[in-house]
Amino acid sequence: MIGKCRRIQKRIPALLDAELPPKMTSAIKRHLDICPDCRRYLAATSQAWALLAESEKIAPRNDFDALFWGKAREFSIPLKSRPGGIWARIPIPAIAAAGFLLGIAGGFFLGKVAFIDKQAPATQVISPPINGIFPYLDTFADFPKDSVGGAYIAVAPQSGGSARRGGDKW
Amino acid sequence: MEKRAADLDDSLIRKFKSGEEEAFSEILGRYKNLVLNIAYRFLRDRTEAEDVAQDVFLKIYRSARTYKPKAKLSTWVYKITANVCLNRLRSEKNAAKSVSYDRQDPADTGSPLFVGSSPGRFSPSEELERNERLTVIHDALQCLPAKQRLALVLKRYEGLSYREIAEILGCSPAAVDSLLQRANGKLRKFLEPYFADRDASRKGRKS
Repeated sequence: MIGKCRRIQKRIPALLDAELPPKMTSAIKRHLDICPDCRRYLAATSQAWALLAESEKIAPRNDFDALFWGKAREFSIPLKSRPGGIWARIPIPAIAAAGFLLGIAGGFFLGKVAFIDKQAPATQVISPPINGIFPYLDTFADFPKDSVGGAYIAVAPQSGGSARRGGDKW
Repeated sequence: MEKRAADLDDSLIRKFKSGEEEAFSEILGRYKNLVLNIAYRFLRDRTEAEDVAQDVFLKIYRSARTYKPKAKLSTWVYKITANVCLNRLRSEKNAAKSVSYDRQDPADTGSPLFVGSSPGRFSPSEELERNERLTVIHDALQCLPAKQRLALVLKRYEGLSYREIAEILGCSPAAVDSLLQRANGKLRKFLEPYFADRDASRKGRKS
């Protein structure tokens, strides 16, 4: 009975609103005839609705229409003739968003360029040693004999390295 | 009667579309009370309700010229009102999250919550009891979640059918039924102590 009552009580607002199909309406009415709990529920719902109905209506302010027409006329002035023109009508967040997107696009472009530059040395092919000497060490050959680079080249063969002797041209 | 009202709405919209601004004055006159009171019952604040009503009519004014009548004008007005009310509540919630402010009881601020209560119509004790009842009603409505409250306002105060409410809220009649079921359950629970107190005080007075 309790489960049935719960189901019936759920349908009571719809019953009072006359939103139920006739078959269900008559079944609920039959149940209400024999169930004091559901009748109490029905009475409490009606009581709550009666209280809600007491809520009063408010009236619009006297200047409601005038206020509306003021705003509406502002809207109907053509966009170009408004003070500040079209630019004044573009909201600040839209401008900020456009700037942000431009920044991202610009950053992406510049980042791509920088990325290519950084990647370039890594793609160089390392030449194999010729006669046990790496040809790219030749870059040191241009150092004058008394310079730090020249001193390194002079010292390197003594430490067992495979670099050529002295700062001579290779 | 309803058909005649719908026909009148249609002709007003047609006139407005053809450039007669006065037709919109009539639309405003026909619907401003309705829009204002839905907003007022939903938001519980007269000033906000006036703001919402202005917004609703501006939206209607802006889109009326491109409006294609798929449904009755009244349904369209209800729909816009419902959306503006729900958006207002949402933005109010967001504002409350970022700025903490205590909303004062309108009864304390002297805002005309109970407009229409004509002084002298009731005795002071009756007036007091009446004001208490109205506060209870408003509090009861505020205890409901936004959509349930809106469905209840449209049903109880506007007398719309479940199908019409469904069209306005963009859901099925079954969903409206469920919204109203839950709203009624909460309302009954909220009002139970009030009714118990009232009955007890009435019994006390009799004895």
